[in-house]
Amino acid sequence: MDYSYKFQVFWELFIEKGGWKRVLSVGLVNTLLIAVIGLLIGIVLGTLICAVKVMPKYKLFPKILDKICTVYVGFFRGTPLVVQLLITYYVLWPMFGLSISSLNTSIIVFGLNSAAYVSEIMRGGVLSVDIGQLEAGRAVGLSYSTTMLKIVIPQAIKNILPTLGNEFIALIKDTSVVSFVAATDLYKTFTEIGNVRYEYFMPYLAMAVLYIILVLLISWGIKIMERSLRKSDRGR
Amino acid sequence: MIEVVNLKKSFGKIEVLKGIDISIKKGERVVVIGPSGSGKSTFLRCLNCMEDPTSGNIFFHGVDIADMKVDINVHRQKIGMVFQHFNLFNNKTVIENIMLSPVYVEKKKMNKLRLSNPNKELIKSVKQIKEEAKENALQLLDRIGLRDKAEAYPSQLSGGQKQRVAIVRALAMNPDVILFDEPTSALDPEMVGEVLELMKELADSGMTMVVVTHEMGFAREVADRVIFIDEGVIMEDAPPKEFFENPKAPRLKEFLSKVL
Repeated sequence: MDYSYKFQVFWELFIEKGGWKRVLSVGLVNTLLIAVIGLLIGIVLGTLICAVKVMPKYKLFPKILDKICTVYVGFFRGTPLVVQLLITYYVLWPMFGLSISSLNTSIIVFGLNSAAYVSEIMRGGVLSVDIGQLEAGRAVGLSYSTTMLKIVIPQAIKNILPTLGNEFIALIKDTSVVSFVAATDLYKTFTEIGNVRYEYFMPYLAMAVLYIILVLLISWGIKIMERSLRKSDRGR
Repeated sequence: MIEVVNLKKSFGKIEVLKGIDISIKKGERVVVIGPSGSGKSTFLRCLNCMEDPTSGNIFFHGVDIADMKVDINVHRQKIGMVFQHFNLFNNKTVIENIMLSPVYVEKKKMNKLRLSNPNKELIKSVKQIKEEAKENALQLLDRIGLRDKAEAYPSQLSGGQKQRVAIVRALAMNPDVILFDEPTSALDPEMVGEVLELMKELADSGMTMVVVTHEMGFAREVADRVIFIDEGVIMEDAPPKEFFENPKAPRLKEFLSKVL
């Protein structure tokens, strides 16, 4: 194999002809957009689902909500992300006559998908907090929701931060499938560079390096967040 | 002050409390004793509806708090509770633990006042509420000699310190009665003393107390009445002298012969 030729081609396309600009300004930006907004939607929706799941259920309405959430989580955990993307983009939107861009579709599907996972992560976090914390809050006369918001959930979040970080990293990497619905992400922009001369060796290697750097940066960020949240613990 | 009428509680098919009747007067110190699994903790936890009674009534100042329609939170503010495992809020500092509920309650009260009564002089600002609560919390911490731990987190305290803070947290609400659920059972032996000391001090100040405990010495010394619960019913209810020296229920005689 002629490595120097491969490198030269890549250098020419990526640096000299400015291919990196598109990789960063379109590919990286879209990848981050899909993962970050997806995770935010996931956290908001996932928290709501989790709230329904851990709520005491004496009445009919919460019971029905609970069933709906169970079906929702079952569906999104039971089908591959790619299938969800394809169904949404090629089945759902045409059925309802909607025209939503492939980028927005990706963001929506990633959000709905991660909500299913985040709800379970959250539920695990809430269950990991000693029941005595809830009881103590109720015993001093705080309502269920106030105790949850002020006492239980802050402790739960501290416990689930590493897992939530995992979810974010998984989302970042999963964005590489959005080209199935013709959205442009990191994978797509590097492939475009490869397509020019049919030389994929260097572009894909560079892509892998970029993904790794991204994930390392995120892990580092999570570690810092965790440290600031751990201040109520004994020094570790 | 508390009037319990035919209180029953089942967990699934198991009936833990089989009809308990008792009335507790203001200023009374009631100690509840019984073998494990007898239902004494469940009884205590029913008094503030931490466990919802299966049937029966619990009248607190004449209101049946076992009724699900009653806003239980309002009544719980006047019924303090101290737990076996302390249950301090781990994500809050010591002083925040003590201030949390008083501030919350006062804020709510002010919001209500703002709606019904536009008289501005009566309404305190949030800042004012917090300052007052803090002042009060620091005074309480002084009382237990832990003022220097105000900004510490519960994980930095010893078991005895945690339990004393938990008692003070209950006191901060100015409760009419405090329920103690085996407050010394999870403590190292050398820390039991400091917690019992504080409880005695409370008793001397005239606080109404219901205490589930295994500390027979405390029962003998502090209680006005000692109650023996077994198999979900009250088997003996007597002043400590009579309770320990002249027990009537055969089951109690057997129990005392084992523990004393």
